[in-house]
Amino acid sequence: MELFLEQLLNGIAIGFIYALITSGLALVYGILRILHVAHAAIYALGAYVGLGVYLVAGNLFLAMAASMAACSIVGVGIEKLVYFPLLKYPPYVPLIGSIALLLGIEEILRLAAGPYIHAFPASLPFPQLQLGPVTLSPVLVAVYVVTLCVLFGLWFISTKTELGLAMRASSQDLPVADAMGINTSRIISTTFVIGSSTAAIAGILVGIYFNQVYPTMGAVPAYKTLALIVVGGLGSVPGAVLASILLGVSETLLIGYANIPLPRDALAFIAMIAVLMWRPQGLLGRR
Amino acid sequence: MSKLLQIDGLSKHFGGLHAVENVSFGLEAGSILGLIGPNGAGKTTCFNMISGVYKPTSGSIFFMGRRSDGLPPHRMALMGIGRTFQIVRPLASLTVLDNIISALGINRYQQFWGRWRRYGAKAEQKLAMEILEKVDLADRCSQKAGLLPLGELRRLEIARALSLEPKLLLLDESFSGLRHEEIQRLSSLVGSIRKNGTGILLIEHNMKVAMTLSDSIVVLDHGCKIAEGKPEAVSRNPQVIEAYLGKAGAEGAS
Amino acid sequence: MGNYVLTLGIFIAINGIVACGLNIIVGYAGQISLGHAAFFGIGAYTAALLATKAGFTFWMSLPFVILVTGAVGLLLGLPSLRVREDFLAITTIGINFIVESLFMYVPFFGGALGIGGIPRIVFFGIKLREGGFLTLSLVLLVVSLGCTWWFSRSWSGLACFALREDETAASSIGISPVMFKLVAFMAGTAMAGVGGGLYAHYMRFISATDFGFPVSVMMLSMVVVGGIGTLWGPVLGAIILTVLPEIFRPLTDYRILLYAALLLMMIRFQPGGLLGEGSWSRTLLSRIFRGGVSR
Repeated sequence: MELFLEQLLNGIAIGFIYALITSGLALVYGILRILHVAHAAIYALGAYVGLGVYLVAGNLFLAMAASMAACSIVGVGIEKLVYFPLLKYPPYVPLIGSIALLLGIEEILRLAAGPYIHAFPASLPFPQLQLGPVTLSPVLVAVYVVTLCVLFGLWFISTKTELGLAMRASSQDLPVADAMGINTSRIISTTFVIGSSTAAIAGILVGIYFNQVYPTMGAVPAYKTLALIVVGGLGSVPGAVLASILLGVSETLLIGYANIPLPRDALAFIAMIAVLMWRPQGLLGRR
Repeated sequence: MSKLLQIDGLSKHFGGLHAVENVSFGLEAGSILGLIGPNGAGKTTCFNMISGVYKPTSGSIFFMGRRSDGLPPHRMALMGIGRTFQIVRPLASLTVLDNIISALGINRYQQFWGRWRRYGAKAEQKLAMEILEKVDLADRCSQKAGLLPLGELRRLEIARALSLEPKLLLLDESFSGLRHEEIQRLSSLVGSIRKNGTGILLIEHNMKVAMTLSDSIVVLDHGCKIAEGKPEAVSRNPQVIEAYLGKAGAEGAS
Repeated sequence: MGNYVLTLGIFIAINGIVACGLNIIVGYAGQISLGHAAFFGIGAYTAALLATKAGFTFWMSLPFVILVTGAVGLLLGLPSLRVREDFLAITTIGINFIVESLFMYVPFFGGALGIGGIPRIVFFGIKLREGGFLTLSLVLLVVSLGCTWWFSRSWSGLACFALREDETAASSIGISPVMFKLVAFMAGTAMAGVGGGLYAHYMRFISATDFGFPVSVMMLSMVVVGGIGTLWGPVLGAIILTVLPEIFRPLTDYRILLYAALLLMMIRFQPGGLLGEGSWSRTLLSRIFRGGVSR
């Protein structure tokens, strides 16, 4: 029973991490209808910048801020230089561009910092928690707290601020939002800033959680998160979050606890195909 | 006398919104019926149900005596229903001629072996050119369809629909955005199509066109049919005037 | 040195065949497929299994390879092609991962070790080595190109073009979207299968990782770089993207980065491909040959 609880809590933590990465992807898809595969590269970049700044400055908050800034710059750069000019072409065009970016950024990380796995020995300002028979390590607590804060922040921005309203309007219908006087160009860039920042936070959290930072850490999340936004309902951030948590828990319980011999990474896609069969608009998608 | 198109009790609800509520009317072969109404009246929704885009919430559509509601668009085409689109949809990177030929292949597409045969044989090209001549686009035959101006694109849409040799032609705001001469041209074309025995259902915002072309009119307002009959009678119907101009206008008119 | 060039030629031919198939799906019918390598793999495994477990020769297994990859294409295509365009890209990626996992984990397919000991192709008693194999591959490439050309002139091809241009308009003239998307998909996957069969008999050893997602990306890149929807585009793309990594080989460390950069530049500035409409190469060629370039 203890083991089950432990695994459940681990699974939710993994799910939260997926949620952090996937929500950025869902936001970008919602507004530009582009599958921003390169998002996973920004996530990896976030981990590296975070690690680098932390090793130099010793301050985790500084590391996080620097990482969010760096990732936002890269994210907006990608949007302005690659995606925006390619919007008028069929969707596989920006998609291939995104894949090329993912490959390229991974390679730059490898060439700059080496192909080895770096450790991320950060001391977190979180306590160890005792929940009944189960002990939660500081890292786990950090994942829970940070994710919940970020998700709350996203929800708050989306529903309570004018920015959020503009973002939602733009993702419903970009030309109409534009005609209504919304500065869609700025909204798009802001979306990328928010998305890239959450990716950066996710990267740092993962780096600390698994104590591993390596160039191809984005490869598996790149494709899993694609499956997750489909399962959640394309363009729906709550859907992406829900799907992420479900996947995190299923992966951990099915494979870690029940020891089912399925390749862990294929589970996301199997789930995706199953959902597409039964409910093509995803769990929380519109229409 | 069986009508070409018969709509009975057609309704479409989008959640709580009753876009179309219990609409019924009929269309004879060789006649033109105009579906009009103020903005939001439900004309487009009604039209979309007839052309297979939406499935009705309730009610039925009979085309030549057979149920046609809920059928996918390509089946509609096979049954003999051709349509144009409010926002023109040319096959942009194909030539104008190929746009027509593609519509001529309707039978080939269904044949297991036929679909592997070469298209565009002399006979087909000749037929396509004849159709293009009818809409006065013959000289554009080798141009890429995407480069044509709106007026010509509208004629291309009609030519494409005509290639199906349809018994029913659905014209979706085909006159919008056209200049006066283009409207004249298109009107006489539509008239000649009617002479051939095809039934035509049109939605139009341009009242003048709708009134002059149509043999009969159906007026919708807030999803319900409020009038039906000959254009002159309908145009004097106080309910119709009120729907378009509001109560003050109706009182002014009477 | 001679053998090296021949080997390169063989890979160009095999990649060309697979890229031609993908071109039918993506270029002619306008459907995104990012899982094409899965069908390349299914063809390879079919040929490999028939050869090693049932003693089939390449010639005997060829019709089965075509049938199996076409049938799996039908099976997987049927649910996938009904979904919206954006979903399709992700679904095909999913298909790639799942098929690769099947090859990796199911013991029948040799598991992580793959299948080895695939015999050479024998043509009238002669075992085909480099030169002979190249000839065979080129012949099959020409056949693939011929099939593609025939497809583009047939009613099926015209239906696919119409679907690609505007699905709504196409269905209003009697073209069933699901039917023709499937036709294109199956044609494409069958071609990929043929390429796979050749690959299996040339490499004589295959494993699941030969058919992963990066291979699908490479194939799509070939079609895109060469000119999507053109007849010769896939071949040109195959040539460029097979030779390029070899040219970059001396710069081993920077190879992938250069490849990614090139791909990015290409897609950013010439999305239509080198043979596409309005591309630099076409405008350049038409200026040289004054009278204009014909496709």
